[in-house]
Amino acid sequence: MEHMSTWEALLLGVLVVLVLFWMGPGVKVMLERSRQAETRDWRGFLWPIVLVVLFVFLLIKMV
Amino acid sequence: MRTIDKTVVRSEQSVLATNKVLRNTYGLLSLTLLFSAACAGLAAMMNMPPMGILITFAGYFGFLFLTTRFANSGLGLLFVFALTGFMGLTLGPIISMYLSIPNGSQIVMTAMGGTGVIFLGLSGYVLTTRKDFSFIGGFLMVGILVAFLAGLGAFFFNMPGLSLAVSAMFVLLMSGLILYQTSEIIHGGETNYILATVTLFVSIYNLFLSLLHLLGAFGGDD
Repeated sequence: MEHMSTWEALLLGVLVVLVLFWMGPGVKVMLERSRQAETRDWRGFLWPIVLVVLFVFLLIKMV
Repeated sequence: MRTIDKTVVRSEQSVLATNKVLRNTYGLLSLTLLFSAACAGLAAMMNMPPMGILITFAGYFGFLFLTTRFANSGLGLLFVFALTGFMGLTLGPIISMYLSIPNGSQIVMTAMGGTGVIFLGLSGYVLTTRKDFSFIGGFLMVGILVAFLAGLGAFFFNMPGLSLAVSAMFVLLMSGLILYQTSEIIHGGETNYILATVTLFVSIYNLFLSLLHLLGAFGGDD
């Protein structure tokens, strides 16, 4: 961790709390929309994610 | 008969509007990526020092707030370039740092190429299958919040292992976010191309940074 004075750490903490308050309502709306979704194709979502994981392993092997 | 005609006209209008949002989003995304890359290159050339977490955090969320606040006006375009330019400036010193290590250029190029392949692959998947991923939005948002807080924890308590785990989480979450956002655009859930661009840009940016971190940590002859 880079050197931070107490006031910098406090200010960062305040900013984090403000960001969480700002994002809160949006997250609630998205959670509600997710609940109301008619189709839940988890397999269709997870397949590309699994391919991404395999691709990242391939990239790690390459470098 | 007239009702059917009206329905067909409305449906055509809806498809045209969706195509317009998609076209505008990809157009603006290309411009912002080029602008951000230019800013990152400038920062690297000028050997700019890292900005520090406080300025990075305040600048990023400050411009993000302004962009979403003015997303429905012309000012939104100005702030989206300010946000992406600022993110490019923060990226410059990080890329410079990676380029200074032995196989750094290979790591940076692999991360860049990998990010491009993942983005194009996932976007192509949604655009061809036209799957609706609106059910995943809440899960992604909660996941991003958890990963964000874990990332801050890793920074404050100097935990490199947790930091790597957060990067791995971000690769998965940002991939999910690309699927979600593209699906939202084509199904009419997102009608503002500025907000769609910001989401896709942030996904690409975080994907690149996370890949850079993972490749830097696990790549090489060890």
